[in-house]
Amino acid sequence: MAVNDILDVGQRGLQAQRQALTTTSSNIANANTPGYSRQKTQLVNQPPHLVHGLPIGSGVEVKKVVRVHDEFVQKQLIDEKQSLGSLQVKAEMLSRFEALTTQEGSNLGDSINRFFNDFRDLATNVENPSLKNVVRGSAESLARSFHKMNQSLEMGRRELDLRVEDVVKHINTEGREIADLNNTIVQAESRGEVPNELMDRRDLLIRDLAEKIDLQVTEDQRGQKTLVAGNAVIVQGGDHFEMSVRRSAAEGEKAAGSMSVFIHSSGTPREITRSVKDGELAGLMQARDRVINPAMKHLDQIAFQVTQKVNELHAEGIGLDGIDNRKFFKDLGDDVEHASFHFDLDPDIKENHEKIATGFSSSTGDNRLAQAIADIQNEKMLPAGQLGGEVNLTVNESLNNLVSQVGINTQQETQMFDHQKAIVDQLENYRQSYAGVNLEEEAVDMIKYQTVFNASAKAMKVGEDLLDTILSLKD
Amino acid sequence: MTTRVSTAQIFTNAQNHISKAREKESISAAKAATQKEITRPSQNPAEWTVAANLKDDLNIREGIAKNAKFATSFLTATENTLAQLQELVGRTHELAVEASGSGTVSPEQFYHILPEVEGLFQNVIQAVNTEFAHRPVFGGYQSHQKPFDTEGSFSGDNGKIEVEIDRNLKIPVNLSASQIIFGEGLQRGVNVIDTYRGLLTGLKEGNIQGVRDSLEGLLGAIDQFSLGRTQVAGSMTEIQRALDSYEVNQEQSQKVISELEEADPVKVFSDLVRDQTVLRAAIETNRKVINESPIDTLLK
Repeated sequence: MAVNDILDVGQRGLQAQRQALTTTSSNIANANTPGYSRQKTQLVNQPPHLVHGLPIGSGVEVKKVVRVHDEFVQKQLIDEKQSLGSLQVKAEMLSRFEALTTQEGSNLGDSINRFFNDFRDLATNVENPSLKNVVRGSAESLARSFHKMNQSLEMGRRELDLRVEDVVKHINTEGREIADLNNTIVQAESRGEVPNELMDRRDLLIRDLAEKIDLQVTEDQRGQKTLVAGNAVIVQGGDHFEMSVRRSAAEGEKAAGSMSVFIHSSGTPREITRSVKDGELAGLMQARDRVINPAMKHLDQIAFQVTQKVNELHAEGIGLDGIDNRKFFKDLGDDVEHASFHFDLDPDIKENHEKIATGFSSSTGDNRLAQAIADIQNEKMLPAGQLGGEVNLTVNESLNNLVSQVGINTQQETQMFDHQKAIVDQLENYRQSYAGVNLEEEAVDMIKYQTVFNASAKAMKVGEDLLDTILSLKD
Repeated sequence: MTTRVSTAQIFTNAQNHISKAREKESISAAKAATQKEITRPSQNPAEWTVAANLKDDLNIREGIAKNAKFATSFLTATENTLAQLQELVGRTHELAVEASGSGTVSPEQFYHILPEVEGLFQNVIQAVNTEFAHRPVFGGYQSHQKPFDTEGSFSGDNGKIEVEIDRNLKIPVNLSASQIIFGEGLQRGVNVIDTYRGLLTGLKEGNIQGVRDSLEGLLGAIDQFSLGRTQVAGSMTEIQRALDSYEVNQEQSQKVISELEEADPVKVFSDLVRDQTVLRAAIETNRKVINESPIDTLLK
């Protein structure tokens, strides 16, 4: 064995330990990087060579740097994060929506009570001219409360649509990046590189994307990921297919003018709204279509029924001017939709409160109509369910039902979110426990590699000394 | 098997523990500050709905009770009027008895009684035109004018003014002039106005029989007013019962609302103290876990 071999073995030792130290440093640096999987340097001994028939060790080499990864947990996380994304966004949006509905519902409830109580006061004291003015005032306030609640629901719907648009933009950005990574990873592997960081980045993006839309992930033989979302391929190899949103007509639970989702995989955009079943995108659309839309329909139903009932009675009454068949509220025809938006006083009444009729005759003391209108508040005139059912609720009960239904939805979604979050946290915890960086471990590794690095340097020094000794023999 | 714990996990867990403890403490603090158990429907939708419906019911009943009290005032005015009418007719009856009892009374003496009876008749007219809050008590729906003119001609109607005194319970609060003043629909009903007219004619004409004929009518009128007062008393009793029931109901509803919505102060404050202790413990423990990493020692 030549003395040079000692130097070669020492040098390989130095290189291998340095590389291992670099990996350790990289692990330490990425201890807080989301999605980072710790890496391990795999050292193997060099095959020995025979010297005089004896196997002499050739030192060490770095076989590869592997990332600690479990594809099964990654798949579980993708599955569970889809539900988490949907539940999280629903719980968050409904919680905000609930606060708003409770406040506006309470205001509307107060206005309804005031309106009917003022009619009661008028019925008790029809001769008092100022009470008609009071009734007009409370009717105007009732109209404002309906508009305000309608506006709140409409704003909620718009905000959800904006978020839908935003989430689709994110899906496109991440999908594009995943497609690019698919290409880059294949190219790096074909060059013999081990693109651990790129794979980590792609896994992280896929997990992130899974929170936004229900995702099915498959891997081809070259290691490229194909992503199917909402029944449509969004990434295949290096190709990415854009998604877009567009307002469209009413369909099923979806109201007219709400956003629908389209995929551009072939020439004509194909609608995939119905196929999006999970993730933030589905959660946003479900909150919009299954909570806000029914609440809006419910509110419209209340506004419509109040208008119809009061108008029917008021038209039977006779004003002090002897005129009958006068509406109290603006006529809505048969159009229940948007009734809470259009709810308003009849222009005649708005202009002159004296046109409010209080009796079925033009006698000044006839209070029967005013009392009958006040009685509407006790009438069971609205269905128990948001979308129909037996008519057994008063106007106040129906409004409380609307608010409480939002509360029920919020409660359900929040509970399901908490449960799902616990599952995802557990999985994340598990992933972290094997793939996360432990600084103590890395510190020990550093000491371990540093010690061997120093020892290898020492071995080289010995080799150098040996060479010096040999060379000094010449002298 | 030992569980591997990554460094990021230590920090994430610390963050989760503190954040959960903080959330609980914040909920307890909110309950302590508001003394409310339920502040939003999702905390307990069923109880929230019951409380909301009860609050609406209370609000509606409050309005009804206010009007019931107004109706009581109206009925009191009617009752006072009837009492006054009884007095007036009673005095008229005394004068009529005086006039009819002396067979030798001269027309001059009738003339002496006549002005007082005429005055009493005008007082009766004034009484039957009594108004409360711009509404004549005997005018029916015709409240824009006095129901009786000075001659006693009636221009009102029999409209029943009904007032809601409890949810879905209405009672008429005015008396019908045709029944109480004109005796219509009553057995041996008396037309009070015609009785006065007959008496006045008898007195003016010195017709003692005419005066005597009015005596029974006057007594009948007093009975009629008594009947009216009985009706008023019945209505007032009914209103009072409704108001009593409202008060009981109000008390019970408020109790239920309070039980549903309000927090138990003892429990709230003990929860708050407990949650604050847990939060402090979580911060302290996690501070130790984070700080006592051997990394510094290892790399020294």
